Parts: sequence; structure tokens; C-alpha cells
Amino acid sequence: MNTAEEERLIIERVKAGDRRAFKELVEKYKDPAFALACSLVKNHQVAEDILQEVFLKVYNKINTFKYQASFYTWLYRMVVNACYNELRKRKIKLGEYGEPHSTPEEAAYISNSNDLKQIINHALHLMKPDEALVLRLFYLSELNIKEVTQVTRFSKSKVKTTLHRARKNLATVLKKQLGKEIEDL
Amino acid sequence: MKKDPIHKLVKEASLETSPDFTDSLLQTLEQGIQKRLQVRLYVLIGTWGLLLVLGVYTLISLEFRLEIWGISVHLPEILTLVLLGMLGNLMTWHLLLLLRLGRGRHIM
Repeated sequence: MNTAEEERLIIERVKAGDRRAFKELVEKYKDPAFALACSLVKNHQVAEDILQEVFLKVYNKINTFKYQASFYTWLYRMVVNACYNELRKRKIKLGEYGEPHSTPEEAAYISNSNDLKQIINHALHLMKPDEALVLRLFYLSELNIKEVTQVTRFSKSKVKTTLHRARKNLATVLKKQLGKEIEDL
Repeated sequence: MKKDPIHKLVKEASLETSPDFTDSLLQTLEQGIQKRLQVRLYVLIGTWGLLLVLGVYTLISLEFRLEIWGISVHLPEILTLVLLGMLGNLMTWHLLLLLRLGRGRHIM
């Protein structure tokens, strides 16, 4: 049985009210979905709250999921929508949420840090929300361009240009931060 | 296609939710379901009870009026049957809903 079939079975079990199956779905998708929410709202606590609401909505609306798209594009679309709604509700423009680690002290700590993961995450945090979102969808969640357009509702050309710009910006930030270590970027 | 250095770096920078995220989510879900079940159960029981009271009251008042108005004996029998049929239908419908509730799924 391949992964898609396995996932279909899990979804069918969730539709029948199986909460253990729902837990399996949550465990599988919570981290990539969390990263996407962080790209947009730039705040871990808010992103987690949004994700909780989204997963509850998934449980309640799973019967409306008809396999016309893959489950993850359906879920990620919900996450992106919920983030936009949250920002609209709080009248915050994209990326205006301040994360505690963007304070000067923290930024200084990160710039001196050797933790690659932390440095990359900080660089993504500093990027424009749309760029960080597309970058994470394409590279972290490994969606193809068509799937990225389905999640973001951007046109194909906008996804490609955003991705190109994001890649360039990330490389610039990381080259500054890491210097010689990643010169081949 | 995606095996460029950026791919590796972004993959490296995966983010994780807090460790209690799933448990907290499942707990909220459970609480929500329990609350919804309770509310709907009360509504169903209330509706059923109200229907019973109304039905009994209607039957009693019909018989009462019959004695006063002296209408033919056949009419209340038909009315009683119709009313009982309606009540039976409603009760069956409610029972089916209760059974669905018992399976823990949201209804309506």
C-alpha cells in the first residue's frame, strides 16, 4: 500500500469519527503547517493558536473533503486563510507581528550563533511573509509549483518570481551571516 | 529538481510546535465534542418532552371538546391516530439522531 492510499484510509477513519486516526494526521502535518503559519504571522504563539483552530476545523469539516486535491494542499490552504483572517482581524499588515527573538539583543545573539538552524530560521523570519511562505511550501513541504499556486492562490508566474526573489534574498542574508561556509549558494 | 543548496538549508530549518501541542488539541477537541453533545442532547430531550406534553394535552383537550360539542365518535379516533403517527415519526427521527450522537459524530 502506498502513502497516498494509507493517507486516504486514515482520512476515511477520521470521517468515521476515529480520533486516533485524527491524531495521526495531526502528528504528520503539524510541523510543516506550523512553519507555514510562522512565515505569515511571524509569531510562534499566534501561529500555534491558529493551527489549533485549523485542526479543529479540519476535524469538523473533513466530511466535505472529496479528494479533488491532495489533503495537504487542502490543509495548507486552510492554514494560509486562517493566518490572513487573523491578521485582518487584528488589523495587522503582513509581517507586522513582532517575535520576541527579533529584539536587538536576540538578533545579536543569533548573528554570533553557530546554530545553522537558528540562523536560517532567523533569516526566514526577516523575509517578507509571502516569500518565506512560498520558500517553505516549495522546499520544506516539497510542493510543486502547481500545488503552491493552489495553496497561495497566486498565479504561476507570481509563484515563480516570488520563489526566485526569496531564494536570492535568503542567499544574500545567509552569505552575510555565514560567510565562507556557504559560498556556493 | 529541488536538490539545490537552498533546499537543504530550508529543510534544515524545520520548525516544531510545542511538545504538548497534540495533547492540548485533542483535549480541546474532546471538550468541544462533549459540550456539543450535551447541548444537543438537552435540545433533543427538551423537544421530545415538549412534543409528548403537547400531544397528551391535545388528546385530552380534543376529548374534552368532544364531550361538550358532541361531535361524532369517529373524528377523534382519526385525529388521535394522525397525532400519534406524527409523534411516532418525530420520536423515531429523534431516536435516530440520538443514535448518531452516541457514535460521537456531529449531527445536523
